Amino acid sequence: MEEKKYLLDFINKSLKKINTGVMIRNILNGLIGGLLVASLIEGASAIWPIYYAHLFAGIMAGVGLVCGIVIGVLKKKKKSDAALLIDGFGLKERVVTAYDHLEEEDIISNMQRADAAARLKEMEPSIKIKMNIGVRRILLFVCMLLLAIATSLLPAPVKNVAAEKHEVKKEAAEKEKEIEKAVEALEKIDRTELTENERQELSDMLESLQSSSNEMKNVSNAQDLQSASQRLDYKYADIANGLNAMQNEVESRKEQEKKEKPDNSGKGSASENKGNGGAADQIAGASKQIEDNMKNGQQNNGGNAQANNGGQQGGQQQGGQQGGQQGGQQGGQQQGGQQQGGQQGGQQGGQQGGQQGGQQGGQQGGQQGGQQGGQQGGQQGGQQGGQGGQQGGQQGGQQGGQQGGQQGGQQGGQQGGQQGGQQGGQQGGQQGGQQGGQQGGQQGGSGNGQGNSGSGGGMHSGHDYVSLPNQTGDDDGLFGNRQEGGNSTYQRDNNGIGWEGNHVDYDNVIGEYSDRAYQGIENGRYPSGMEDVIKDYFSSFNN
Amino acid sequence: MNDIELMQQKIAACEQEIGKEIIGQKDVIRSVMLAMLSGGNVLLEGMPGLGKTRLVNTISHVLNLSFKRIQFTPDLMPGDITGTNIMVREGDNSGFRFEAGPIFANIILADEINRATPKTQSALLEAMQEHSVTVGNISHKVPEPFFVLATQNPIEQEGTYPLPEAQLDRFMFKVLVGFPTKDELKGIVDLTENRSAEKAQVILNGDEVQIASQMANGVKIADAVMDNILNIVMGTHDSSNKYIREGASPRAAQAIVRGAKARAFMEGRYNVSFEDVKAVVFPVLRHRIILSFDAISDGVNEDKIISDIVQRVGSVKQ
Repeated sequence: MEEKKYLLDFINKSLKKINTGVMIRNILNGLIGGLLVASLIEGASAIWPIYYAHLFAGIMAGVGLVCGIVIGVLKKKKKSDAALLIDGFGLKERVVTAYDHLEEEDIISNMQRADAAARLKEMEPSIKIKMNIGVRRILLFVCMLLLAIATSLLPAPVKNVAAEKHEVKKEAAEKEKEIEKAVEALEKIDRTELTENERQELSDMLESLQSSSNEMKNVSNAQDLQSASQRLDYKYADIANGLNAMQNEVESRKEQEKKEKPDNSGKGSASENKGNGGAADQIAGASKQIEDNMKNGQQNNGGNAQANNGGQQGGQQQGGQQGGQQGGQQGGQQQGGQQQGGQQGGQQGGQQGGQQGGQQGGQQGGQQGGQQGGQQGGQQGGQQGGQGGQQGGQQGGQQGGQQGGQQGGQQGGQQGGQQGGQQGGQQGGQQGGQQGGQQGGQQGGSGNGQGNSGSGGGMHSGHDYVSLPNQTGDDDGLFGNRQEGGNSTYQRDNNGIGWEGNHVDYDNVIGEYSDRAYQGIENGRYPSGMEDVIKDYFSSFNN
Repeated sequence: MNDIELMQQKIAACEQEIGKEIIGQKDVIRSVMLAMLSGGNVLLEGMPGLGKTRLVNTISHVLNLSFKRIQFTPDLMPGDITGTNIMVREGDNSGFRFEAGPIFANIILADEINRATPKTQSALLEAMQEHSVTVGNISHKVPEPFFVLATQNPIEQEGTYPLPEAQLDRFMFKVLVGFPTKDELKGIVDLTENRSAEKAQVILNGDEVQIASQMANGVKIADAVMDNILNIVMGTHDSSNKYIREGASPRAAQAIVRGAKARAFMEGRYNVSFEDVKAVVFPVLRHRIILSFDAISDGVNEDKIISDIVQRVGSVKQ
């Protein structure tokens, strides 16, 4: 019995050491493999933009570790293996034979066991079971670890590109979701209560949103995303206006039906009322969804602008503020021109002007610029929207930036509406419209240029709002008067502090704007239905 | 000291006694002793005059066993080996009486076995495998222990009848008797000229040989060692080995186990080691592997193939 115990104890003790060695070896092997793959991934991320390179590398190292542990467990040695290994020290398979016949009690088995135990005791001092990890393996592991760390810390511009791309994709995906929500809300609208034109309009809206969704799927860089986001915001504004108008139309039809059939309080009438109310509510819900999307978009834009330009403070903030103010003014001025088209035009113009001013201000100037721009844009949009009606000013102001811009816009819208109402009354609409039309046309062009220059480090796109062509005036309406040859004289002066610009011929300017406008039409950059207006406007220059 | 240890000492003493009369040829002596402890037969292959007959004679003397030598010739008939029924008349009674042939002894030396016809060679088959001889309708048991030690000349193939595979398989070992070294040759010459040389003493008897054989058979073998043996035998059936036309039979695995056990016993151990396996695998397998034409054309012999298989299979895998 003592021999059995001695043999088993010795085998167990050796087995622990052997299995520890097996586990460490396999873990190191797994880690070496994992770290090698991780290094390749990290190295690849310095060449190609792989945003999740660190994550993938970490996963690979983890997978290597897990594989090592699993293989270590699977390769775990048995007691007979340990006994065989002990026999390798010159015991001529005595220990493994004794272990295999441990339970046998015949005379030869007993003698064999005794012989094995005796020889083992005799040779025990010289039996050194090693874990056999291997210096080369350890060195290789250390090398791989250092390589992985070095490649992960390797500075490469493409890593920034990857991060930017990731953010772009993420934001585009969010926008896509918003669009999907808006599309769902639009699809929920009960079309049976709508007229043929309204249905067509609704289909156009859906199609427009669908194209924006596809566009979001295809964005590959920040510029694309910005352009797409701006186009989307315009579409939202356009759709929101259309939905508001549609809602008013549906409600007015409902009221009219009530008036026409005052005594008809039967079942059919109730259902009709219910139906009309449902469609209006659905339209209102869709409109709210789109307005929420717009707010989210504006907040995101503001946030992005802040993140992108966060390091550029001081002069850029001033530039942003100026850009915001000018953008707001510009939006408001152009808005004034549009409001002459009637009450609806005033509402739309107010909204667009306030919103664009707020957006541009927010984008160009960060939060502060956005707020100020939004406030001013909202005020002016609201004032001039007030010429067309208090509601247009309020809506335009409400959508004119972030919270500060909204508050300012609301105040500005109310004040503007009040002022517009007080000053103009009935005349206010006409005068404001005339003044707004003329000044909006004139200052719209100058505001555009000033907005660009004022934006400095901010982001600005000055070609995405549309003026009504019949209100653009003659060539006198342009900021620079057209000469006989179409070109104005100029001279260079080195005394100024501004950057030196380029002189561009009048025809080139018109041609360039025309080209951009047609490209914008092709890209769906302008609100639906305005394409012909834009074409007519630019074709008029050729006459 | 118990009986097993005593027997182990006696076996070791037998080897020493045989060595007194046989100079060199330690491996041959060991192989023959192993075969005897395992109850197997041995095919000795070597040139004439290398002391094969003397070896067998000495072994039979040391083990105190009866010994018969049969010189195989082309005209040797089976009855010349097994014996035959002869007519006898004793007074008024007459009849047939079985006259035992030379096969009825403990140790048979079948000298130049490949010179006899296959019919005569096959007369040994039953005795080698069943330890019995059938003449007419009566089977006669040969005395125990019974060993057949056959010799054959590897170069004189003219007018010979190579042993068929079935008969070769019944030899446990095929032992190659090599030419002695110069010192061994001097010892051989001195031995024959010096009559005062020490004579081998009788150590065991037939019963003790059988007991020793039973004891050797009780030696323990570990699973790992058994796996090693099986892998080696399976290695001879590797179809990817272009040098092997036919591999060893299952009888080869049995022979390796028995031979390895006997060797462990002679070494004073109670367990088989990889070393024992490696020692017996060559004499067990070399006549059980049939070489392909590629092996013959490439000059590859059986021992080289076995060595490759043993090396490939390995013994201890950590």
